[in-house]
Amino acid sequence: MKKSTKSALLWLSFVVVIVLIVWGMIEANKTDSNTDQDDNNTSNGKEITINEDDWIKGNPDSDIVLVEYSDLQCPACGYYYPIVNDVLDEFGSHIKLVYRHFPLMNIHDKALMASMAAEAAGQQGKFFEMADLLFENQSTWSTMKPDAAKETFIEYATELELNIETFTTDLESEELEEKILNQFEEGVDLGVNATPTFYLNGVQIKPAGLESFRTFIREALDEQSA
Amino acid sequence: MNKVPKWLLWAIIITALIGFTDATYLTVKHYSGEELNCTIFDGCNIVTASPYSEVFGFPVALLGAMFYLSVLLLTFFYIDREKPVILSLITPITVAGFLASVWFMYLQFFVIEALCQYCIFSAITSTLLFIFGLILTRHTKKLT
Repeated sequence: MKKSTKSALLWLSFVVVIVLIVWGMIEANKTDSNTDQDDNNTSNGKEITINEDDWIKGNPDSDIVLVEYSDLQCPACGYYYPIVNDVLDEFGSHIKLVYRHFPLMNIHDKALMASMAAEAAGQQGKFFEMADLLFENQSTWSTMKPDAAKETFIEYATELELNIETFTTDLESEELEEKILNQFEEGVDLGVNATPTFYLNGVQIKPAGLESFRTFIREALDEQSA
Repeated sequence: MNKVPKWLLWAIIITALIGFTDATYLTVKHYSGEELNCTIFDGCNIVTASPYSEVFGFPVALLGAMFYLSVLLLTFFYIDREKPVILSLITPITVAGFLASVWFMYLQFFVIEALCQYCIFSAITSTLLFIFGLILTRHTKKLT
């Protein structure tokens, strides 16, 4: 074989192989997303109702509802939290975010206490402010002993200028604990089994990042205006 | 003339092709925003959604694909032209790829505290390329 022919064949095979791999991976991705839709994108056929005691951010009158089941001690939730805040910065006037507790108590020893801290702050009108602080400082308190973590939560309450006496009492409130556990049960009924789990207008979505979140929400906005 | 054993060139090409396939898959996933199927460890979406999945705005997966592609390109160039100087370019690239893998494995174990099977797989292929790169230097020294 002539050297130039050999060289041409070599590079042709190179290009073909690379193109095949890229094409194959794009196709593989399409099949993945199809099976996703068949399997999981439902909330067990149940409707998600918004309760009066739900914590809501964004536009409370919006028909586009994003429900987030989250655990304040779960690292993945900590990653998604700023993303959700970015989504709200961008679409806050068009969507309503509902935050629900889903404390994975058997693997996160302070998840319930953290939820209690957020609820206790909520009693004084600063639920999301406390949730922000808890998520931002998650790595600090999640490794602490429960007593030390409690002290830290009280420090956050001081930082938020809450009434500390009321806050400390509310941290032990049975009523708030019941609310959190009810949300957990409701999540289990919907089929939540991991955190964070998101439902957009009752349909479970699995956004892989901010860009993916944007796509889901834009689709919902388009559907609404159509 | 060609003193580099054929098996070594094949080993590099096959390993780099596998790595390229893996990294391309992650890049496609990154841009389509689809979630990954984590069959071995339950954490790949945590890793790929973490802020560490991008470097200066470039997805790590894309940089990985470029890394494997450049190793492939250089190996093909060498087979085509048979110039030893091309080989001496491969080794430093594999060293960089290996160091990057060590860093990302550290991030997964100690910072993100979640594992991503596709990323671990890429760490394995880049380590193999690093080893082949070292073997390659022995041969290139003889050639030059």
